[in-house]
Amino acid sequence: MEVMLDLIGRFHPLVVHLPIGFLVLGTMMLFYSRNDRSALPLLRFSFFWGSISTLFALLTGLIQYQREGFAWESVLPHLIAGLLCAGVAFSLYFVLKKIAFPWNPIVKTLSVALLLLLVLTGHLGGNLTHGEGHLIEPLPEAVKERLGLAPTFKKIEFNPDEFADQPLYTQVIQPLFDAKCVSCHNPKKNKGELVLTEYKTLIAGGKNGAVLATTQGDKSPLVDRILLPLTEKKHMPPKAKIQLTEEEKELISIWVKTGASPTKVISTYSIDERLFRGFFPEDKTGIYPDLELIPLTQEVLVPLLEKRLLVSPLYDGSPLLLVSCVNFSDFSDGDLLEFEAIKEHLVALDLGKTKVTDAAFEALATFPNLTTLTLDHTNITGYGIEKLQSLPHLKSINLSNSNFDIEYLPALFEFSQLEQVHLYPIDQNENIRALIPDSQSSLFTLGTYEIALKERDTLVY
Amino acid sequence: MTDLEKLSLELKTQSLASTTRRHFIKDCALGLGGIAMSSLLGACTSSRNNYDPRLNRALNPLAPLPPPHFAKVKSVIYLHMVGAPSQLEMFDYKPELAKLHNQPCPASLLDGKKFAFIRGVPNMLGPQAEFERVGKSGNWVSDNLPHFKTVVDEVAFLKAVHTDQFNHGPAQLLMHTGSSRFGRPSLGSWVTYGLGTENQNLPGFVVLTSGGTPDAGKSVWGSGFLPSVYQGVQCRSKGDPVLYLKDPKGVSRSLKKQVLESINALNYKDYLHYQDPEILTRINQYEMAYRMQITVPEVMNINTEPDYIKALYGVEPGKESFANNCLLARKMVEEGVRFVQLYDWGWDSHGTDHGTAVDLGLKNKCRQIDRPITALLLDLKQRGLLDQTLIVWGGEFGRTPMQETREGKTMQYKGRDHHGEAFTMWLAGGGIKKGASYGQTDDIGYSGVEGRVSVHDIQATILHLLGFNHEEFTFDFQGRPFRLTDVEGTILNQILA
Repeated sequence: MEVMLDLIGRFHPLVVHLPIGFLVLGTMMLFYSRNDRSALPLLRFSFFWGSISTLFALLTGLIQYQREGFAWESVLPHLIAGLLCAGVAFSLYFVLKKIAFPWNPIVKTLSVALLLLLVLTGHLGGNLTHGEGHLIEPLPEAVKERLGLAPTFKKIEFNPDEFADQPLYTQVIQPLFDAKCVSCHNPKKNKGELVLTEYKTLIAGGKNGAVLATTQGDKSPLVDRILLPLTEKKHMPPKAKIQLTEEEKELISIWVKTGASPTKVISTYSIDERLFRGFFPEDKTGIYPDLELIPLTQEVLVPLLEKRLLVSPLYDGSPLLLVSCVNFSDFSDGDLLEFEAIKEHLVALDLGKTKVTDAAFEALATFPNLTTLTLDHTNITGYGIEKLQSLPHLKSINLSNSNFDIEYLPALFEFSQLEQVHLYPIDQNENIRALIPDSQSSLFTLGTYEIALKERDTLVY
Repeated sequence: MTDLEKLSLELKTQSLASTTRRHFIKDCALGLGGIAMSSLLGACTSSRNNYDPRLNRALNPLAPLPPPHFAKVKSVIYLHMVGAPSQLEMFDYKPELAKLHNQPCPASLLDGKKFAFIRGVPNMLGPQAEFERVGKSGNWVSDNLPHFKTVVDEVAFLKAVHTDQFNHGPAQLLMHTGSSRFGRPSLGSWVTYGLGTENQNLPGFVVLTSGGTPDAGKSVWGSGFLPSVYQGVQCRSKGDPVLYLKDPKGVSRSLKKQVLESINALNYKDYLHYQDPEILTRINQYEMAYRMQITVPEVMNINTEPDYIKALYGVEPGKESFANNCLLARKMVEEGVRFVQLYDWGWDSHGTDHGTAVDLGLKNKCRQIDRPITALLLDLKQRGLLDQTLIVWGGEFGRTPMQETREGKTMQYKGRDHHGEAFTMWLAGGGIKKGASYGQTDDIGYSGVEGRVSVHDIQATILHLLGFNHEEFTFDFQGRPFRLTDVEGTILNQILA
């Protein structure tokens, strides 16, 4: 008996299509033979069976509600709409029995109402079985935004400076469940009777008991199953769904293994910052300043490109420009004037192997966002390099294989933002290391590395 | 009628025969539609592709393009040890394996497993090298690589790489093309296709070999279904750097220039007639080859390097050696070459003879790469190039913890068979977390127990560092978009800075 009830309940999604079919067909026939009184018997026939089948639908629906663990509040709208459907269908049938000519105002009103109710009931039913966002989900993100619908997948993002004093659970763990688990484990659709929408139900576990390891050693079915290989049937989330990343899996297992506390703050866990990096806003520019400039148009760049200069955005669509003279070795100081139009956008300039001299510093100092400057294999001696001290973003100067004179070294100590200076192969006889203050020594790469001869270098086996 | 006249007549009739009335109507319709379409879509094109002709992708397939996302590095030097180096004598220290030395291998490790040569029950073979923890990172390196120990803090190890191929050819293809079968573009081709080449006088993808060509042949640097301009250009450190690039005897450079100019003028006339951009591409290619004739021999000449640098790498000018290739790789990267691929032959340590014994020949191979690789890392560093270059080291698979018993027989020399379950690779340079070590093998180094990494994961990571999303970087072929990483690959954040 129990089995039969379960089975009958599960036939609900099938049975509901009987009234839909009969009633829609009836309405279509009604419209088609609205002026034909001889059609009345047929119309009565289809609305009779349409109305009767609504009763079957209601019955199976009620059984399914009771046997499948649906929440009353979530089923209620669907039930009311279904009852209304049945009511309107029966009324239509009785009206049709009374009248002698099909097309009358009451019939018109009732049939329109019936169609609307059928659509509504069907939609509410679909939402129950397939989830709230079933129809919205496949829409493109842009359309969803236009319609003002909340995104179905919430991206977790937080400020790298402020996240550490928040509880791990509220900041990371629950948002992760929300993003990647609750579409199947929510109060309406609770597969395995597990609900992951809030801490209380999470601790309560599913039909096989607790899923976390707060009490029973470090054995946690939830962690075990997210760590299973993707090919295993028991792996969660299921293969076809959006997967947790390696870092996210690690975070969840750390949280569970340390007692699944709802309040413990992130900074007290001593978790490697790497695991959170995926939640930080994407670092789009690396060492370069994140400037909000309008990208330059092609017309501005063409004269530079025609001079065989390599001018390239930092990445496709970025306003920041990297310029290289790799194909223009005759580049000289005067050519720097060409960059007037792009001076705001210029962040990396490679003048390696060109004919620039110390006179270039004057012009270089007018590129306010210059971050990396490459001057290798040039005749630069460093005279006037202090002019670059005013550049707020300048982080790297490559002077390797230039004519850099040690006399100008102290000027480099005064740069505020500088992180790297390459001076290889500067003459180290002058005991250059002694000249560099200790606080600045990590700044300078002097190179001229040597690899001592070792026994194995000559040992032939 | 001379032969030439016959040929030109035939060409003429052929081209006329293929032009029918239907052709005319179709061309008109499509042409007009196309013109209308291009003006309609003109506003939609992004900043890519529409610079001046020389930098326009349609005319110059090697024109540089910005990366789709922020790139940590702009070039790659990939060091491939052909034949598969033994991780157990270089980086993966297994003291437990030493204790099991000469004991028969447990059946559990052999059941259902396929080996290239091992038959029957082999004995375990303990590490044939001394290991120590070195550097601040405390990573293990064997005494086979004394110089490398000094730069160990620059690199990030992957200790549990695995592959599903156990023969050289397919495994090399998988490593470099993402598929164990022929026909896919190599990593370097994908990168050159996506980013072009900065130096317009040099190829974007250069291949240097020492000791021989890899088992999979030149397909490991082939362009697969990508246009063939993106395939690797093999440069030789001995003899002509690029074959057939030198002018023939009796042809001076000025004559060559005149010939090229005439051909280009004829081609351009043809272009004006047919408006086929392929013709402009061809003109561009001729001009590039002409420029390469000067630039390539210049870059490939290591004699101009100072003695100090030559000694640092331990180069042998005039010979073909891995040390020479390392120095050349640095020179290439310095000149703006995008992808430099090195193959070093001779790592297939089966133990069939002196040269392939893990306690003899392997030590010689290690000596040949130890100084050059160390020098390469240091030289790039002192020139400020290490931060913008990615260096990848590895083989196509690893080697067994068991001693090889070829066809079930005990062998005179100590050797190891092919092993795809677990092996070591390392990466260094821009965007890499210095001194990191990810993944771990079991006590005998048979399989990865933690941090297992697939070949596609490494490829995804390399593309990521170059500014590509490996899932979005595709090429349409045979009706579907293809990716280097197919449907696999996870970026290895664990070794990224």
